[in-house]
Amino acid sequence: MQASPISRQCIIRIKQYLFGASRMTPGLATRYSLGLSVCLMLVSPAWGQMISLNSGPDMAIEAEYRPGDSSRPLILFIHGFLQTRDFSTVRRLADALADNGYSTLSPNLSLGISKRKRSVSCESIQLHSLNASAREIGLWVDWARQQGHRKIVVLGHSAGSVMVSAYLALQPNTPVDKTILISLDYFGPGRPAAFESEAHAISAQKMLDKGDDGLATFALSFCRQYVTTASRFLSYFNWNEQKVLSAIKNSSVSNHVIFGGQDKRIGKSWIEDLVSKHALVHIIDGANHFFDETHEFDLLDVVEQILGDDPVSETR
Amino acid sequence: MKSYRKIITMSISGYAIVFMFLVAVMFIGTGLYSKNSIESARAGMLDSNRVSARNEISNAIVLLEASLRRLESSLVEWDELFQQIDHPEYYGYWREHRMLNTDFLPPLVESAELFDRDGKVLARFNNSRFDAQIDDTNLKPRIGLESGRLVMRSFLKVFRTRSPLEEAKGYLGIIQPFLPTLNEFSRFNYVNADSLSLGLAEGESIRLDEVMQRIEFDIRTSAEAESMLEIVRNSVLQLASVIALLCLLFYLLMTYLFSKPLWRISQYVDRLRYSDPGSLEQDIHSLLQVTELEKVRESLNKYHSDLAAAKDNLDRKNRELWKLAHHDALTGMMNRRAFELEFKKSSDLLMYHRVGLGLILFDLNHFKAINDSYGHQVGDEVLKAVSQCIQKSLRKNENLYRLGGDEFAAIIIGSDSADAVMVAQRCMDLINEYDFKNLGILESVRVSCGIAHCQAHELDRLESLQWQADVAVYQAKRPGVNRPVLFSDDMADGSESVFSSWINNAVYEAVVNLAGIEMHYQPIVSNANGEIVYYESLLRIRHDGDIVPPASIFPVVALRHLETEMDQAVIQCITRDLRDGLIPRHTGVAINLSAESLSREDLIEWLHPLKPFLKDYSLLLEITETSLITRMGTAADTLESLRKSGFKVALDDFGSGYSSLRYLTGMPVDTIKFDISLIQGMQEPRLHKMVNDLSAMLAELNFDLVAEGIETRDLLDKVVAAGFNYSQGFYFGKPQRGPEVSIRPRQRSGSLG
Repeated sequence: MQASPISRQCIIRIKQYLFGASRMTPGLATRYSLGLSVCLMLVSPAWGQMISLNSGPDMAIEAEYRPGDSSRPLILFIHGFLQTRDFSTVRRLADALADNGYSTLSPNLSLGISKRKRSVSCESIQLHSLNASAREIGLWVDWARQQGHRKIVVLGHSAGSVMVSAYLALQPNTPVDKTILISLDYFGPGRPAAFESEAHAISAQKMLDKGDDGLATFALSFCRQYVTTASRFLSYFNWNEQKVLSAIKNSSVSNHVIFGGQDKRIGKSWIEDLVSKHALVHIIDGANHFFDETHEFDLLDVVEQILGDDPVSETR
Repeated sequence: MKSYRKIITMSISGYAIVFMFLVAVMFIGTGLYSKNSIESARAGMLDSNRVSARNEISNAIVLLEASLRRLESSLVEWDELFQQIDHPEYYGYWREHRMLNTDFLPPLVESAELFDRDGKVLARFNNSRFDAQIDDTNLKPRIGLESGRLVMRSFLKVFRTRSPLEEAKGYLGIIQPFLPTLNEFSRFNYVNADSLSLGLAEGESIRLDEVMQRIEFDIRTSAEAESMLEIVRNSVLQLASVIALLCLLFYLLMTYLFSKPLWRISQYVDRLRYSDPGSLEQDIHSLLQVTELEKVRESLNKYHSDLAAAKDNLDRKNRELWKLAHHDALTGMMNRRAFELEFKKSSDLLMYHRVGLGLILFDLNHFKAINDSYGHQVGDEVLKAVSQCIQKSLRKNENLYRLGGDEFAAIIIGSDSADAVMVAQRCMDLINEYDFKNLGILESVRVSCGIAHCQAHELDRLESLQWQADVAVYQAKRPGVNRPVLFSDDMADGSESVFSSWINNAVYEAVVNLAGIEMHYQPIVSNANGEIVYYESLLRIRHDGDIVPPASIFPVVALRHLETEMDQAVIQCITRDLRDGLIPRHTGVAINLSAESLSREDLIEWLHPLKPFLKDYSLLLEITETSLITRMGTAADTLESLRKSGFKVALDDFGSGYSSLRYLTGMPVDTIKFDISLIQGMQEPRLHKMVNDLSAMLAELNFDLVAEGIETRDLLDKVVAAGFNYSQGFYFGKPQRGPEVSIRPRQRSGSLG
């Protein structure tokens, strides 16, 4: 059950007031607003539907679809590495934007698991690749188009943004209107806190060179023990910053990149590189990689601002 | 006769121990009863607990089943499960590393296996504990015994959605240890979880819903009950300890408060019997005093004090009485009784301490004449003066004894005969020097003094010392002898008859111990019908097998002044003969009394034992006329009192002594016995006439007349004709002892009269 758009907007504004005015601690404000949410939920009708697509043999993918104002773009939310649609950053944005009348489509990338419902732990057997996720993004974009949504904005967070970039590289002629890439980073070497990923990449390559694509444990992203095949590992690892930059540069869409000013994973050079690749970079001061606490509102504002830049009447 | 029931006593300590024993018995009984009650309650509780335990297990199984359903339901969220079902190529790795390491499966799951929708295992592994193919129609959880452990095999359907229309994508088999899993769902308050078992054989399995039919278990002892039992047990032990302590304190208290003080009191009372332990002092060291015992102590002390005072008084009275009993009232000297005692003691001294013993006898010469001449009062003064002179002469610790009449004795201890003679001479000299003219006596008063002495080694002479002294006195009385005479053996010659030690011993033995006295009885027959009306008792003494005749007896008695003693002995013997039935009933006995006895105030007491026989016998007291006449004043009241008691008085030997007819009317006599000399004198006509006239006269005075000495029929006829009522003599029988007495005299034709 979810709150109605009006009630949710009220909750958000109340939270903004309470916390912005610094009259409550963040936790207290959150608890207060949650309590208020419960009360409002009780009187608010629920809406949203689960969409299921077949992405392959015995592979179904699902997304939460909330149709909104048809004059407004549909926003396709891509969650972070091994996460689900319910990851806080994307969830809050999806809910807020849905409440604001935007159509939202929040899939769970399968990550090799049909109708995946939960985040995947690092130690799970990872039978997914970056490319597969990129293809799934494409499936959702196609579906959205099939639903009549003429403007589609793909919003990704963290690794989700990387996967969006992979999608852009995969489909340079994407019908997506723009992308909003929150906390965009990259796999590959040079990534902060990469563990032994570089060495593992060398090992993985060697495995492949030997024709061994069996399961092995690698370090990838925040997973120190990431169990996957060499090829699948490398599908992520090889999507380095150059490839991201190349994908952005070569894409025909408008790419907005939003960083938190306090995101430790993002270096100044990266920002400069993105800017040089014609990405529109937005910095929210004080926010971290996940835009926690009050920065979620700042993020929302920026996203809405980004969403509101192009008039609805424009078509591609 | 009273029968006395034996009373069983026990000390206070014993009672205390019995009490403690009873308390212990009661306590043990109560404890056993409580224990039984608790055991019963416990058994009831166990039954109830057993029911509760089964319910616990049943509920746990229900919860277990519910948890399996919940687990099955939650599998829809387990993405990896479906990943493996859809892409089983890495099932082995996942099975090895991931399947049991997630939060989806309960931590107790020890083995799991995935099966596809057809029930076929995704991959076979050697360490798999599942069959490769499961029967999807028999997926109920089963409990089996594997390697000695009960394990539960469950097969959960794996659905991707919660849609009731969806078919299972596969099956997840899990193996859990049954008992620990069951424990997860119940705290098992009643069941001893360690005891749960199903009684399965190795490899055997049952369905989960069959468990209750096979489950075996032990009841966990109720903590509360056990606690309560422990509390009761401890309480009982503590109570037992307290009671034991109280009993010990009670025992000690009893001992301290009662037993010990009472023991003190009883010991004190015991000591009272033998000595004077003084008063029973309060036990000042005793911490606790019992009021009642203190009262007993005080009462005992008072009683002892009163008793001591009474004893002192009694002692004083005894001393006075002893003095009275052992002193001569006239002279103040010790009397014969004291002499006999002292002589006995002195004899013992001689026997055991080997000292010499001397006996001096003093006998006033012609004392009777002095009495008769100057009167008894002067005679008494003479006796006092003589006794005082003798006492002065004796040494310290030597006492003078008045043996009776005018005879005195002194016992000299530790001396030889010369000393005794010297002492005696000193006494005689003092008496000779005394001026009796002060008493109005013109004649000289002399004493005859006889001495007998025996040395320490002459114990054989001791027995006859008195006799020897008598012999010596006899010798001293010879004319011209004015000195003490010491007995010598040649004096014994010629004195056998009267001074025979054999006779003396016989007489003494008879008097002192009643030894040898044989009363012989001679019948007195009624002249009217010839019936024996009574028997005269005549003294005989049998000594060393021989009879001592009266002729030998009475001189010794007279000389030794043993008249009253002999009369008492005779009375005792006659009493014994009457009691033994020696005398035929409805007859009588005549008892001869001496003049000395007649004067005794206690004569009535002597004769008291004979009173009971008065109802069946006639009892006569025969007194010589001389005795009666000379003691008329003192004897009259006594005789009159005896007559009133039922005794009769007979005047014996009438006609042989004083025969004043004037006294006859005033004499308290019932019978007059004419002396043998008068009766046998009736052969002579003049005496015959006199006896006839006398008897007629006395008969008119209502005296019963007895004729003594009837030895012929002719004499008998004469006395009968003279009016005598009764006759006595050899004609009717000689004095006899024994059954001959009961034989009636010879029957004659016709009456005697």
